[in-house]
Amino acid sequence: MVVRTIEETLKVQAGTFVGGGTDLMPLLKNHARNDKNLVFLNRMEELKGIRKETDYLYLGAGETLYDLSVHPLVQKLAPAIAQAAGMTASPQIRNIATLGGNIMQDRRCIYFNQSQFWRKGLERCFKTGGNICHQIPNSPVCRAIYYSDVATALLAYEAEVECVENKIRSWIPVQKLVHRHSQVNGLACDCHLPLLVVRFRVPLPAEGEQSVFNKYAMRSTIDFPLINFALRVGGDRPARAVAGAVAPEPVLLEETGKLLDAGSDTNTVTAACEEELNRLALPIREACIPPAMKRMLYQQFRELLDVRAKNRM
Amino acid sequence: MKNEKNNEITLFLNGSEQRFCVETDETLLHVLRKRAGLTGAKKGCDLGECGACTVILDGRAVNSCCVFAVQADGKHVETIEGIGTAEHPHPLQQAFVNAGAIQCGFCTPGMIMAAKALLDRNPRPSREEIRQALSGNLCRCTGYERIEQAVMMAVEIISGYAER
Repeated sequence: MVVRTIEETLKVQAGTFVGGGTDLMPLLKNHARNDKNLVFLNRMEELKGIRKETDYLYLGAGETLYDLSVHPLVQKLAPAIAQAAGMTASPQIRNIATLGGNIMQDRRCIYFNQSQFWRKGLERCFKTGGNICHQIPNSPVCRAIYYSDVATALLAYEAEVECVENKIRSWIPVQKLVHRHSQVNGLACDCHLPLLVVRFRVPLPAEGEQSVFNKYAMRSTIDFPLINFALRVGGDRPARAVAGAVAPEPVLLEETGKLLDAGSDTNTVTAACEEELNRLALPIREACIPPAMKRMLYQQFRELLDVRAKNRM
Repeated sequence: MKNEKNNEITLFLNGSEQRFCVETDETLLHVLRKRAGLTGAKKGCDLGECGACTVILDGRAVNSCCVFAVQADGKHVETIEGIGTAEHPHPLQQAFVNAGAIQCGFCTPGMIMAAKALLDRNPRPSREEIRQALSGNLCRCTGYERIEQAVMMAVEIISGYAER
């Protein structure tokens, strides 16, 4: 079903909203999901548009990652989002994948993102309707990781998202949406929040604010991130550092942020980031690296700290 | 993937308007290969990773294996069949032959379409821009040096046309 207005989406019963579909398609092909009622949003004009208004930069949920990555307003006012969008997947995927779809992507795990044939040899996990997490067998919940790059950047800006849920339209922090999505999405692969993501808004930067995003992946256009970081410093708000691809949702590095505001040196801030991630991250077995090696990547946060020098120039 | 619903879509396929009746969860690649008989776009990984299925959708390179056919309704689709013939190959096709950028050839249509999408919007790309544009296409036998050389050769040929 192709919808063109929000009113049409309100009439949909138990549908799966599809932005670009690049995350959903492989899951359908692998029979990891079996969504019956696909609702295509690519004709909805209300989900499009990138514009600056009084206090915010507005980003339509239906904008493609490519458009976000090259748009002059995004590059100027929210560079970490442009960088994150431009580093996600391959050019071909970025040309289709949407901002809303990227935020609402399924969590991933090497025991789940496999063909049906491969999975047959294992007991069903939480995401496939069972009662176990193969990653951490004594875990009461799914420990699959949330790999969105753009979500990490949005959280660094304390962005908000406009959603339609239960026919009510409201703005909520992106952090809250991702948290709820992550919890629901870990219960079963066909569980998703019954809401429509309409658009995002990012507070306009105050004078002196700097922000940056970076990610590490084995093969950047094919593999999901091993880890990603976003950092916002300067301006009139407290600094904010976020790490992604390390847990079922992005991890906010509060202590690291405080040290950044205090003007601590690079070694001190990096050590604090490592300490916080050792405490808060929930690494699992991944295709490319074991958890021990992932922990060694925590210090890569150091690479982002050069952005502070721009404030002093 | 099976879906009970049928949807009529219109594609402007290599310049010609064509209608297809498709399943809701059918891919653009399936429509091209099975319904339109255009087998140039290849089914490789079928998961959006290898780029062998690359076509140009409204001017942008996409993985046709990851595009729902319904979403392509009303759009212009360019495939490798539409850009040249055996007698009059596209400069990119000729350059791939001349540079020896083809071995098994399975990735070649995807490589050429990804390169064409780049050259259509940026006729004088740098090496880095070429590498970026082809970063979603895997080749397991030729190696990327020759492929990059071929695109550079095509850039020179196309620039020559433009300067005439």
